[in-house]
Parts: sequence; C-alpha cells; structure tokens
Amino acid sequence: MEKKVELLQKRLDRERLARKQAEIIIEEKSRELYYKNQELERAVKAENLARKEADILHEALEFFTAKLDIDEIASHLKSILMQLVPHDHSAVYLFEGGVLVPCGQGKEPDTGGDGAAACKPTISPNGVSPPVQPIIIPNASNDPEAKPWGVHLDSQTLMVVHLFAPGRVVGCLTLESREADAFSPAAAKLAQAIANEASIAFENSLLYREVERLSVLDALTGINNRRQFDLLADREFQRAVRHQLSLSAIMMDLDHFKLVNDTHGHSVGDKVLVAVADVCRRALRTEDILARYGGEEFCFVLPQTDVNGAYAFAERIRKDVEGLRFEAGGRGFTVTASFGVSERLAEDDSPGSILERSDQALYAAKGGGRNRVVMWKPRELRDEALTHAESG
Amino acid sequence: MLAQVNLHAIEEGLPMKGMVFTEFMELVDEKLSPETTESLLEMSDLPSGGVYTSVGNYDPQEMVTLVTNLSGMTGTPVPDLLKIFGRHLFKRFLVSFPEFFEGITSSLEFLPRVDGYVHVEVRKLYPDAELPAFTCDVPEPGSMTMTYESKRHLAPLAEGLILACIDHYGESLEVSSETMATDPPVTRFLIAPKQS
Repeated sequence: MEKKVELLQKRLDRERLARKQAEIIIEEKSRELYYKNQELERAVKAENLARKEADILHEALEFFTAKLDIDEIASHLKSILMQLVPHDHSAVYLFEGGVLVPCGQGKEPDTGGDGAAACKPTISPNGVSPPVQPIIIPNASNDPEAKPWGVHLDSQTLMVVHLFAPGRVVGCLTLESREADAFSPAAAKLAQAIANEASIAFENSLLYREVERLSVLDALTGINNRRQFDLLADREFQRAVRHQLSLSAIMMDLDHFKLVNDTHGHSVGDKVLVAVADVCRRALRTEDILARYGGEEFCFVLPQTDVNGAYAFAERIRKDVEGLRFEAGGRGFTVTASFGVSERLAEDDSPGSILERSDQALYAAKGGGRNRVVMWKPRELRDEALTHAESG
Repeated sequence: MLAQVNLHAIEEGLPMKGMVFTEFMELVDEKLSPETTESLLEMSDLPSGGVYTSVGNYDPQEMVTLVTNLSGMTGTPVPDLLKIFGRHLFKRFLVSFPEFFEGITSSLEFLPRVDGYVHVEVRKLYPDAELPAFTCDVPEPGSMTMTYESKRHLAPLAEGLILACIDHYGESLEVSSETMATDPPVTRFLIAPKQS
C-alpha cells in the first residue's frame, strides 16, 4: 500500500514537472509565433509600400516619356518625390550654360534672398565621376558643405541627388527636411531611381530644345537664319498693318567680302562674319529682328521705326563695322559694309516688298561707292535727285 | 529474420518527439506494470529525470537507454521490443489521426500513402520532425515491397507498425524484411499473402 502511494506520488511529481515544461514550451512557441506573425505583417506592409512605389514609378515613367516641357517635368518630379520620399522642401536645378538654374514650380524659393540665387553648385556638368549615390548632409543648416545648395529652411537634413544623362550631369535635385536623419538609404535609393527617370526626360527635353534652337539659327553666327527671319518678319509686318505702325527694313552687305576670303582664307572670313554679327546684335532693341540673309548679307526689320530712324540705325552700324579691327598673317585689316534702307508703304502686302526696295537701295549704295547707307526713294524723287546731281 | 538493430545510430539526427517517450512509458505501464516503468526510470537515471511532455523534444539517447535497459530487465531482444512498440504506436495513430485512415479499406491501400500524404501532413504539424522515407512498389497484385530509410535505424519499429496495420484491416498478410544497406540503413519489407 505504501509502495503504491509512493509510486503515485512519483508519477504526480513527474506529471507536474512535465506540465510545467509543456507550459514553458507552449509559451515559447506562442512567442515565436507572435514574432513570426509580426515579421509577416511587416513583410506585407513592405510589400504594399513597394507596390505603391512601383505604381507611382510606373506612372512617373509614362508621364516623363510623354513630356518635353522642362518645367512640367520638374514639377512632376517634385510631386512624385513628395509622395514617395517625405521631405519639407525640394528644388530642381538644371545646367544652362554651365550654371545651375532652378526650374519647375516655385522657381524662386522663399529663401530671404539666400536661396537659389545664392546656389553655387559644387558640381559641374562634366564633373569627374560624380557620386552615383545621393549626397546626404545631416545638420544642413549649420554645415558649410550644404551652403552652396542654398538651404531654404531651418533644415536638419539635406539630400542632393544628381541628374545623370549618358556621360554627363544634367543637373541636380535637392530635398530638405526639418527632421534629423530624415533620409534612409532606401529613401535615397528611391530618390535616385526617380531622378534617373526624370534625367532621361530632362535630357530629351534639352535635346529637343537644342534641335529647335538650331533649326531657327544660323550655325556660324548664332543669329536667326533666313527661314526664321521670314517667319518673324511676316509677324511684325502683320502687326504693323493691323495697328498702322511704321516698319522699316535694312539690307546690309559686306563690301568686297570675296576679297577677304580670297586673301586670308575662309576661316578668317568666318571670324569677320561672326564679329559683324555681334556688332549688329548689340545694336538691337528687344523687338528688332536680325538675320543672316545670305553669305555676307544681313538684314534687319525694325518695328515702329520710320525710314529716317532706320537710316540712323544703319549709319551707326556702318560706323561700328568700319571701326572693327582684324588681323591675319601679321597684317591688320578692316571691313566695310553697304546698307539699303526703306520703310513700309501703304500699298505693301508683304515684308518682301519692303525688303525688295531696301535691296534696290543697297544696290544704289554699292554703285555709289560702298561703305554707305542709301535710303530708298520713289523713282520720280530719284530722277529728280539725279537731275539735280547732273545740273550740280 | 530481422537485422541487428544499431541503436547507437538513433543518437544521430534531430531530437526525438516527446510523444514517442510518453507512448513508450504508457506501453510499459500497460504491457508490464507501472512498477516496472518506475524501476526502468530509476535504473536508467536519465538527464530528463523521465519527465516528458508530448509537445517537447528530447535527446534520442534517452530512448536508446530506455529500450536497452528494458531489454535487459525483461530478456526480450531490442528488435522485438521495438516491434511491440510499433504495434502500440499504430493504435495511437488510429485514435489521434483518424483522418489519415478515412476511406481506406486495406493496408495495401494505406501503406503507399504514408510517404506522400501522412508524412506531408505530419510535417505541417511538426516542421522539425525527423521522418523516415518509405518507397512502395507492387511486384505482383496482392503484395507490396516497402523500402524504409531513416537515420534513426528503427526498422523493427516500422515493421511493428506495418504488422499492426495488417491486423487492423484483418488481412491475411505476412511481412518479411531484408537489409539492403547499413550506412545509411535501408531495409526492404515484403508484404505478401500468408503461405498456408
């Protein structure tokens, strides 16, 4: 009997211990399950976020490929970043003639004068291997390194993302946050990925702009080509007709230019043309139109200018051209130009009519000994003038 | 004729499910006596103190000690003990996992399902379980070969399970076994109609 009790006691003790063991194991297992569950939830959350990011990226890509307007692309880039990379201020800069110029909405950030204007980029368009990763500057408002980027807020963190096109940097993008450590490596990576998409769009848009620019400009002198001149002249002519305004045209031709080419070679001739074009360009008012009309022939359309005003204008340029000094083969030389001037007449139905008269006057200037300005006059006046000359 | 059981090999592999221990002790309680179980535990002086829970995992070495000592106490060879244990476990499986036997009417129908279905389900419940592999073949209608592969070297236990299965369906089949390899151990059982 006693033995039976002892045996039962032993069993009971073991049973108790086993139960305790089981409790511990089950607790451990449920904790494990809890962590696994949390891990799963995190994974689901990350997955959802990644999907959302992918959707926005996809949409961005479609938008970028469809757009050619730089400001539109920049604004869109900013709005995407606002959704995907939390921040307080963003700015997009593109290189224009070697200088970073802000673009997109809010071009002029509220910086108290210390913003985009003060932005002196530390990157160059042909920079030696620019960082492929965004630059993150913590404590940006106090860091001198952040200064060139024009910190716009009392920002804690600044992220600079380069905009890459094949072989060069198109510009950059800055994101500012008032929070410390605002940008995680994942956020930086995402910002770079979005920026890369935008870069392609920027590059396309810049190329398009360049092609557009080239198609209207004379390749050598950078002033309007004949085609563009015809377009602009026509526009000004219509305006003048509509508002009954005066409008003058000048035809200009370099004297003995063939001789310059023959004596000094075409490259010197080209330099002369560029210098003359510069002189002409400097003389222009904003609304005036200048173009290279042919080889060494230039023309002007001067809105709201009568023939006397045009004459004075041409005379100024004539003197400026005469004053240019060139040198070739150790010898200095100068050039001169002849000008024909006329204004719109009531019966004119196109700018071509004015130009034709200016051309006649130019012909007269050449015939009269070159390096001069001749104003077109009606035949009867001209005949009268000739009679005077003969009698005088 | 059963091959010699290499009990030391049981040590290899993963810890053993607590259920195997609780079932083993229940078997000794049932077939012999609670007193025998107590003496066996006392004699074995196990690290766990003989405290097992079905949700736990334990050192397989403890099972080796228990079976060896029980063999010493009773004079029954280890393979025979394992075979008896196999029969006992089958009865437990019938009660604990009736879904495995649903719609099955014979052992030749059930046994091929062990590897492809039963063990798949077991693994869902116990992802860390160390399970043997079984491959079945039908050399001729009405018989079957079943090849057993396990790091645990428990072929006699498998044989006990097969025999209990045959009994469960009240069939007139007999089981013979053949050792195909020893390291790792491979045993092939032939299940064929009784020669009468």
